[in-house]
Amino acid sequence: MRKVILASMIAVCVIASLGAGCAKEEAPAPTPTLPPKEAKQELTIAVGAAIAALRVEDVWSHHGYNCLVYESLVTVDNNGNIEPLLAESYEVLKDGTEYIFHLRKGIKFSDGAPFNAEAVKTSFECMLEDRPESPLPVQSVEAIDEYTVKYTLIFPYFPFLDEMARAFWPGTMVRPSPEAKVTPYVGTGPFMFEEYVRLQYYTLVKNENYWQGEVRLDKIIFREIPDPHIMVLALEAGEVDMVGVGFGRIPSEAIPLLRDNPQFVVHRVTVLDIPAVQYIVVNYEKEPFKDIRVRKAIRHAINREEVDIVLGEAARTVDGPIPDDCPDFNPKVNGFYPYDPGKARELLADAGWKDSDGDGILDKGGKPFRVTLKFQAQTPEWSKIAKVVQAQLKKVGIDIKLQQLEWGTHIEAVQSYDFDMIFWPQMVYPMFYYSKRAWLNLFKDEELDRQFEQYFSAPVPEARLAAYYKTQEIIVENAPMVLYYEQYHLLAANKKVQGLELNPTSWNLIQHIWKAHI
Amino acid sequence: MARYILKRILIMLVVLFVVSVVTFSLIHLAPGDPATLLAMARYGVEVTPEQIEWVGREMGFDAPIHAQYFIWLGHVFHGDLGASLRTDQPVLSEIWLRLPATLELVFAAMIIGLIVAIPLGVISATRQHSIIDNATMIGALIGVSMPGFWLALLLILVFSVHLGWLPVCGRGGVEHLILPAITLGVSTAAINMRVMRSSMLEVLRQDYILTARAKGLSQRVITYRHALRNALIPVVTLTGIQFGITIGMAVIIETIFAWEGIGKLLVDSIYARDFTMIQGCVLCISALVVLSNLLVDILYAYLDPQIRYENV
Repeated sequence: MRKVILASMIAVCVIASLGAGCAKEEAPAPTPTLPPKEAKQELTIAVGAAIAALRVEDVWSHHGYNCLVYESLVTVDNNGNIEPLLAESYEVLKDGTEYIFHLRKGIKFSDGAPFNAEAVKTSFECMLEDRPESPLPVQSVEAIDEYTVKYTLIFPYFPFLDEMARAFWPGTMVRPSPEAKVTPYVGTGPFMFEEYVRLQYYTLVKNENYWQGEVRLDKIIFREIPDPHIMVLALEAGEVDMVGVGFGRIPSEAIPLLRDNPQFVVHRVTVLDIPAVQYIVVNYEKEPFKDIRVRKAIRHAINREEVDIVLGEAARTVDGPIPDDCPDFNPKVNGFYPYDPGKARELLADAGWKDSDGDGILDKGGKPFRVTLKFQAQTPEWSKIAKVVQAQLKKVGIDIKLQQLEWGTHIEAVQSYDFDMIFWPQMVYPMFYYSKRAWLNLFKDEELDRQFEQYFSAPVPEARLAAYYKTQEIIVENAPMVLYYEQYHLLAANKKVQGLELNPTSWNLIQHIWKAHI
Repeated sequence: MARYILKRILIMLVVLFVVSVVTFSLIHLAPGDPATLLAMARYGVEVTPEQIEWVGREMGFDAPIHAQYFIWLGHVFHGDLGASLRTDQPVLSEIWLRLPATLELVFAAMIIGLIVAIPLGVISATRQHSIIDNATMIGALIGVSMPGFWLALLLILVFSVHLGWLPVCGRGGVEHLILPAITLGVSTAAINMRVMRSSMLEVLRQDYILTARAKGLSQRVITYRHALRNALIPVVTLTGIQFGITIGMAVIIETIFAWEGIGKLLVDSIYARDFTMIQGCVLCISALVVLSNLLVDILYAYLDPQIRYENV
């Protein structure tokens, strides 16, 4: 027996030392300890996906934490309007091909370097490196004088300011330096990068010289916890102070429990700049959905109230691609397809779909109305909605087979247009439906493209708004998407976190966290 | 013995080669365009077709599959497993960074599995049909039936949230290891316990035990000096097999407890179609499993002097 134990121990030690020895050679392993937690102005936030490695390119991909370190020239206010930030004011010239920004004076990067027009120019240019193309039609960036910078566009593009208002590419202002064109992780924002321990956490400390005022939190620790349920438990155990920021989603079933607990405050916001809209789209180029009456019938057959019950606090169904609380929502789209199973049956009958054999499933030319709805498991709402929609459409005689896919396979199904019905996120609205710029847009229409072009470049604001309204009408009238829903951003914090003010934007949600304190 | 070990190591190399060919073929057969997924990981969901094409060319996906394999194999012979397609980090250093975490967890779980299972299995066998035996067997049944993720949540809820004794997740000191190791060790212990019990029962019915009894040896001496060593052989075999299974199970436990091990790295890489990383992880795990089987075979010789590998 002793020999057995001895042999096992030797085996354990040999393998463990192999691992440890080589780790030293290949990559020094980080000290596997969490930062000490002291009772001071320190906030711990749980994040679902940590940054894989610190690289220059990652500057614009920090899942919504960018806005703590970097700032942009303009930003989006609480009503969804553009307002100046690092720029004091801006002018739009030459029918929208020139943007002149007058920068605020006296702003410094967190390392003390001055923020000026040259910095803006270098920051923009460095971001263009390592990218095959610029996502914006920018021809040149020019420093006119120390505090004036001019962006010249190839053609008039009015969503330019919206895109410049996000604290990630291309709006991010990163400190330039002579050796490397930019110094990664040095911005003008309220916090500075302090420490990064791979696979465990990273910390930000306050920028003592922040131009907008005194930052009250000394430190923010981002702890990586990939499982959303464990994230909530860590909040309850007091190991983290805040969950739900960025991509770390709180499971919807945990929300009522957190709400009932006086220890925590739950914030629920919808974002205004890039609404988190998702939908079920049908393959409108293929039978049976080629017929617009069938698509409309499905919209009438889906009872959104029931879907809303299933979605709970995580999301809500909406009428079209732009939710009703967003600026520039077209009120005409409101209630366009009321729940009306009678009308749905009528439309299906008009399209030739009848239950001739009495089996409860509609058929046409001997073929039953059987279609597949594809979804993937990593978005929990998709499987819930899929089951409700399956049951509801059964009532009007449509048989839906549910098919759960892995994420990569799901994307391929979308890319190759291999589906009858499928779930998909909308992403940035004007880019998504405009066929000349979009990737994986699932509805293409010439008139829609024309309206978008009008919206991008019409010199008169009223004409742009009219075009924007029209785009929503075209999409809703054609009904390629049979159900839309908008996800809420849910954020839960320990009540000791005071003065938390959320900015209803997708990338700058916690922009004002510097005003909060413990 | 040395010849035997050398032969086994040669076989191990063949096994690893076959594993690499199978893994390479399987990941290329799986649906989902790697260039798209990698471009999305790099540029976000608003990626353009041009960016996808660019990433595909940069990663060499335009070469024929067999050419891609031989290029990769050539690098492996030079000790270079390549760089992660997703993060650009060297695969080998990523694996070495996380391997200690997985080994720590798996060994802790297996030690728990053995420390709990061996005494309880022996007690159950020597007191067959007693209350202790029944209770142990019911416990084993529960242990083997409980899903790991559920047990993990339950343990966290009790020991971290309500009692506040142990941290919820993360890797750090011994206190961080306790919950994940118990979660992972419970089913191992349950299986070991059942095997230990039945093996012990069988040994206790052997003639030499009867002889020992006839010689007037005490039950204690019979059980621990004469029966236990033989009864352990099936448990040792099982432990070798369980090593591979436990690494597999560790994937879920690693995700739940934010324990950055090789299992989680592998799953994340599969989702992102990070081919080089998948290959590296699978090779590493295969090598560990083959190595653990070799160790088990060597352990046999210590347990049972009749087993020797001189003429194999």
